[in-house]
Amino acid sequence: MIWTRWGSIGLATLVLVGCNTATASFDDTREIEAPRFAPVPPAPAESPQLDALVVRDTAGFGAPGPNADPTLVGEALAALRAQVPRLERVSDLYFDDENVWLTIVEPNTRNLSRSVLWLRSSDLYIGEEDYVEEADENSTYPISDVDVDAITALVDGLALRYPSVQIDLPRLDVGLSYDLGLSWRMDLVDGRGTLATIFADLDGTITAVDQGS
Amino acid sequence: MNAVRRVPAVVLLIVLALLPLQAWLQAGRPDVRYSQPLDGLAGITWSATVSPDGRLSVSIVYDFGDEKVRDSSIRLPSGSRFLRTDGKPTPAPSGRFGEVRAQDTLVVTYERVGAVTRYSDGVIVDFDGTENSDQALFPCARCYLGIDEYGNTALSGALFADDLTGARFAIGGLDQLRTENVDGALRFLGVLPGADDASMIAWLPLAAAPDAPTRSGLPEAIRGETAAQVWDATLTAADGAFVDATERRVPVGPVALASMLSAMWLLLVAWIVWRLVIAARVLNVEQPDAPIEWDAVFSPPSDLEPAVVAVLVGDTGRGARSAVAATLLALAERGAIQIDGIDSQRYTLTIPPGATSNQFEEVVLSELRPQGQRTSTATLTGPPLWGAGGASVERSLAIVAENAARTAQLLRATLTAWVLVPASLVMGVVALIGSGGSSRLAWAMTLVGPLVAVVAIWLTGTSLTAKGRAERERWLAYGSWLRTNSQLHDVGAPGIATWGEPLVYATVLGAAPTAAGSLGTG
Repeated sequence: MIWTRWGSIGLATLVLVGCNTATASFDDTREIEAPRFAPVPPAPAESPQLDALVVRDTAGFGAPGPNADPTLVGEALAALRAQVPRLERVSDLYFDDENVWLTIVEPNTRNLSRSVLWLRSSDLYIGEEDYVEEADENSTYPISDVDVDAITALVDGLALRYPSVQIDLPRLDVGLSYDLGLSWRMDLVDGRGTLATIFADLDGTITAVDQGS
Repeated sequence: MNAVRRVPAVVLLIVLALLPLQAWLQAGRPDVRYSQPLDGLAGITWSATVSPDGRLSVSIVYDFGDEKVRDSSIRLPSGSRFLRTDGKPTPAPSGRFGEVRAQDTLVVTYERVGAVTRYSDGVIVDFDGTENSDQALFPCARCYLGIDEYGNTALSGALFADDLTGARFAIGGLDQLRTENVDGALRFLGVLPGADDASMIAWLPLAAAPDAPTRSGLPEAIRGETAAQVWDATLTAADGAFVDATERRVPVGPVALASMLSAMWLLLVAWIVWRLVIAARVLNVEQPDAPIEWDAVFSPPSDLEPAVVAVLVGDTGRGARSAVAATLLALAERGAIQIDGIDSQRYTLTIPPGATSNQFEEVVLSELRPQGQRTSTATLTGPPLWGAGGASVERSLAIVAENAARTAQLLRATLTAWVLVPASLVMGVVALIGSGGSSRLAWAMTLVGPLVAVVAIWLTGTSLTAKGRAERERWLAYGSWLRTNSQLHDVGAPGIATWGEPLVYATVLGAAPTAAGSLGTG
């Protein structure tokens, strides 16, 4: 009698265990297709990733200030090249509607860097030499990476697409690129404050939108 | 030779049948089976493509397996961009997180930079989440997707690249891992315990990403001078958490393995059946009542020892018989011992010192002599002649006779060792190779199979050779002729003085049951 009872319990356990299983087949794995890469948009401001940005109601408040002016970058770099003809590497370039800031690495002495400020009034200020113990090439980039046309197209395109938003302080700095590689980073500010931070490749393609959680 | 023992061979075949049985079960069953499947996450499909310049396009499909709406968190590895969920561009706060409302399935896609690094000896694709699960193929699936339960799920995956020739890859965090490298993809399937995270590192040929960066873009990446160094260091740092998937290849597929083992097993069955049938057919040629070629059976067909004749003939035909009695009568017939009749049945048996001339006689007389000493004289009366040691004498004599019959090539092992032992070993080895060394049964059978075969060979015993079969037929015919003599039936041991050699063989062929009974071990 006792064997019958325990046998029934055992059988029921086996059935329960048997039911509580799942299977998977390797054939399904063979059906997986290769993911594709994002296409290059026709213009930076038409980047598909920009669709992630959700514009909010600002109750009639407009942009808090003027957009950064990318045309300044070309002028600033031209003035800088005239002053430092053998300039190769720079870091942390950023600009607003009046000024361009960047740091340059001394062409022959990589441990020396200088801060540079260029004003719309065409004044160029080059700061004192700053010595760093270990030069880190990963924190700097060739000046040729700064594609003035691309950043101009991006900022101008964004200004057209979002007229009530200020494009604030575009910045090209390795340390602020979220491990995305060297990327343009800029804030979009509306009447209620910072709307989002966007990241773009050197060619202006928007790669990420950080709109907070 | 009374009957062919089939049971040991059947047992051996049943044991060996476990190998093809297991192989067919493996071939027929789903590739992975897991208990406690997670309610709310039926499976995950991960895939990625490596571009020549070292970018990665990643796709992760979470199949919830239900219609429940979930607020799911997305955690991205470093360097993730172009984040999309269910095909829609999605914001990524801090570049590492996302929030999305999901139902039925959630498809997360992104591109990743920095995880593909080119070295002089190959390209490393780094999804090592040993230290930081955000850098894995995906972070803990159960933890961030809005799933309340606990359980296991399945993970299918594939890594694509332009060239995967000789590629190696290791997976961490998966059970029952199955992999293959075909059609431009490293594909894998496994069970994700606890629906947690899984890691991967792949070592691809240079042609897979010839323009990839030469420096890893991952903040916590293990670095090295060569791809080999990074590979080794990563696996070492993981401390066994990674399974080198490239080492698990097996030379044959599951169906082919099952077919091979089945074919081998069937061949073995056929061979064993053939041997047993042959052995049984020989024994079934019983001729006690068959027509007798009288010219050939009037005298003993050969000079075989009575004990050897007993082995050949066994219990075939009518009449009680005794090899021990026949051996004693043979001794008496040539005067080596003396049997004096007290009456027609009772006798006195006298064994002088050193009376024997062969091993058969020695086996029998050693039990009758005092303390078994050959120099002793023994005088015994019977029947009964034997005490408690009679049965052992019968067995000892049978063993000696069987060995003599083998030496004379009258008998052979029914199942020969040179076939059965290698066959059982080869089946185990094939199953072992076919399972990639993962089958415990294959290991056990490789080690134990040959031993079982040896035991089966021993237990199955011997059968007649062609020569033995001819001898048996002749002796059976002679036995039949002896049985036609009704007087022999009642002759006792003392009758040896009168009947001589015919009584000796009649005792072992069932034609002289009285003499066999009076001198036999009972």
